[in-house]
Amino acid sequence: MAQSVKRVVVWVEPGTWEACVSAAADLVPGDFEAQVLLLYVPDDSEDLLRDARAGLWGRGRPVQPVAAPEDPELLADAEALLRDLARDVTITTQLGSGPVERVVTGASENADYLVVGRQGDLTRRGPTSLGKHTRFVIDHAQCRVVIVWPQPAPSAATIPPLPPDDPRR
Amino acid sequence: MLAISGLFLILVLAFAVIRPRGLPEAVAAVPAAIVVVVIGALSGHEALAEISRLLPVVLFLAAILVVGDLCEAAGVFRWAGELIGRGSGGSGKRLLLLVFVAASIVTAVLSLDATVVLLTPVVLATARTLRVPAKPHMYASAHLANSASLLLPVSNLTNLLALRASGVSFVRFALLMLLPWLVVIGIEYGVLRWRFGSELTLRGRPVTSTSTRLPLLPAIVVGAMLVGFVVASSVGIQAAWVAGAAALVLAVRALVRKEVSLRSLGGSLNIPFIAFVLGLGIVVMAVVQGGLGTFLGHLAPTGNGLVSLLLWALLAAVLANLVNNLPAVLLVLPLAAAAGPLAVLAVLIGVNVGPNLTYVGSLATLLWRRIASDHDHEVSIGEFTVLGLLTTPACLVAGVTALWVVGTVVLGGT
Repeated sequence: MAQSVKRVVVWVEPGTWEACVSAAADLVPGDFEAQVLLLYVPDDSEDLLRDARAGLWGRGRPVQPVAAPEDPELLADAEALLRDLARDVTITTQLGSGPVERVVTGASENADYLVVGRQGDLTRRGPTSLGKHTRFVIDHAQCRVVIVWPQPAPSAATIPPLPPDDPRR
Repeated sequence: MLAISGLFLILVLAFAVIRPRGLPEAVAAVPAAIVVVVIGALSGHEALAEISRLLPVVLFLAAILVVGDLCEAAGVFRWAGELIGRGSGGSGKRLLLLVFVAASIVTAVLSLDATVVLLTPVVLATARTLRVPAKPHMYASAHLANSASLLLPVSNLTNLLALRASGVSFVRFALLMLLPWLVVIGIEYGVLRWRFGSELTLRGRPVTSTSTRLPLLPAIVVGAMLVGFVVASSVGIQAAWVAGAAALVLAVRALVRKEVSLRSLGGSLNIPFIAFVLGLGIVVMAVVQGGLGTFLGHLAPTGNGLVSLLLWALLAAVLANLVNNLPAVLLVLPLAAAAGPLAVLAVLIGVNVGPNLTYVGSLATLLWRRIASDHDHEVSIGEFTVLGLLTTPACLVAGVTALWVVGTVVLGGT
């Protein structure tokens, strides 16, 4: 019986993309037919840039869009890394726009896995581990979600002990 | 008469907020200024006096903006971006520190315009090259454009407007504002480090390549300009001449090297901006003399104690947040000037730091943008406002307290 093609969506973000791409490669070992979508949705830093100028009255400078040449480069880097780790999979890249949490949720519809980076303090285990948008995606995604430490997780000793008044102690 | 000139002021401010068809703000301000003089709300003599008071100030800023633009054309900002990118070694925390240093220096020396328009895009590009989240660094740059504009008279148009009213020299201004400047930057740094703690722990890739070298002549000219400000102030020459000379040297260099065209140089000089400030100044003066000054006088604190200084800063910050810091400083300045130099400097802390409270500098602009655009800005407004609430009140109180300490204890009753 022919297995259906495995589909993995990777949410590519600055800082976490390498770990997420390598996790995606682990999910499709030697799978020739697997399809991996690398999705990057830039944040609203450009809006911030434009709006900061609104306070400069009278300066009359044209509000030109800021070139963001590095954006597609992030996707190109992610693609190159995945190509290295999982030679035979079909890779597609997507530069998304719009509300990031909804774009990611939508793109992962009917996928087998969605790979997202863990957020929060990387020096200890514990909350907060998910940002607002990641929280939304996990709450609303239809597929299995894989959460990845961006770098090797700190030791279990960083988990706080049971409180002294906990009855199970 | 107050009602008529008040109406014209509201029209001028509304036009500046809405910017119909992207027309320059001067399109409303200049006719309004002519009208208030024609109807006699302000005598021609007073209007001319106001122009001769404002003109050197605006020319000074215009020259500084040209210097900033020419530094950009020469590659100074590209060089700075590569320097902080390389210095960060791919660490978000170190990048933030370097962005703080760069934004504080650029704002202080080349004015907040240079930080907003020239440095912040470079910061964004640098964060993206390093593959680290850009947000914390963008907020740092946007915030410091306001809060790091306390140090020198040239750092902010509001400072230039207040310099003469304060009656202090260029050097004394810097001495009084040095501690408030450092304290405010320190608070911003602490809050951003704490607020974006998790984003900043993410590591990017270090960059080692350097293609840009510091353009030598622009760096020397800017350094010489700073020394020139100090010298000019001590021998009684208008600092605008120094900035103008620096702009001229850089303009000749850029034209010879074909880095800019004569036309874009004219755009940098920005005549409509000069006309706008002059027009706004005249309309505001008509309103103040028509009776608003007396009204605000009732609100104005008395004395030079810490509490009065805090109240001055609060009044200025509230006005700046309602409309914009430019009309705010023009309105409050005549009153504060009567209360002494420390009151004027407290007002400057209010109008310079205050705008960080609202996303785009003032409630009026914020509301207008909410009406005019669709709602895809909601997320950043929430984020920016939280950051503003965390930093602005603390910066105001600590900055004014530092000013009070320097002004009364260290320098002893300026």
